[in-house]
Amino acid sequence: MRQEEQDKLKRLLQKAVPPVGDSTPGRDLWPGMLRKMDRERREVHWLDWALAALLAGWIFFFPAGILRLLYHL
Amino acid sequence: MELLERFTRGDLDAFETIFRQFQADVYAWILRIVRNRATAEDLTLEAFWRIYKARARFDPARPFGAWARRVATNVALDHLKRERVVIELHEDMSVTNDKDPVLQMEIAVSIQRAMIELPDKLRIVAILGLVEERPYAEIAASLGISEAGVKTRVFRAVRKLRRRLTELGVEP
Repeated sequence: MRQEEQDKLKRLLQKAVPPVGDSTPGRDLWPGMLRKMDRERREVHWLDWALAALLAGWIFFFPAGILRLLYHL
Repeated sequence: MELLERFTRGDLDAFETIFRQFQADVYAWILRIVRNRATAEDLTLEAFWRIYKARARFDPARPFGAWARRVATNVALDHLKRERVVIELHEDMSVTNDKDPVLQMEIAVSIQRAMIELPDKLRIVAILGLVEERPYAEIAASLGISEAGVKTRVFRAVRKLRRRLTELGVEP
């Protein structure tokens, strides 16, 4: 494919989808970052929930296991 | 202690300094890919959150900007994969051309359609390389591939776009 064909397509694309160039955010994003960090930290991972459920189930079916667990802790 | 070293140890003040230093660059890079300001702002926060979580793995001897751009590219790619993103058309398209404005808009819609139908890997190089005219070396670094790999992807994207546009009745 010739370079000029690629350039022609490039011009066509740029007409329909204009380049955004070096735009800057309209506001300071740091406060939003702090909120996101706070939110993400409070969120409990699904794996933690799964482990908690597993532990609860184990204790329910094998109550004697609590003593063994405490011994190992 | 150096700023980046303090960041890798979880110092929030160091992270804030780095965030303020690089937020515009990360935002601009993501905006070039997703082409929507509100989405770019959200994804910038997501990129910095991933950066913060992965701070312990970052080598302070390496350039932070390149790493941040790589993470930003991954975040933007994940977004493109998750949603079939609509590329915003040029608002002035109909008035900047002396040809029939309705026809121009139809051509623009066809181009948008052809772009959306590209696989994500090709679409990202088409946008960065052809629309934004970013250097291939920069695109390669952000995608973690070679410059030759970028050239190949651009070539494939151009070929697919030309073929699809011809099918849609647009002579590229």
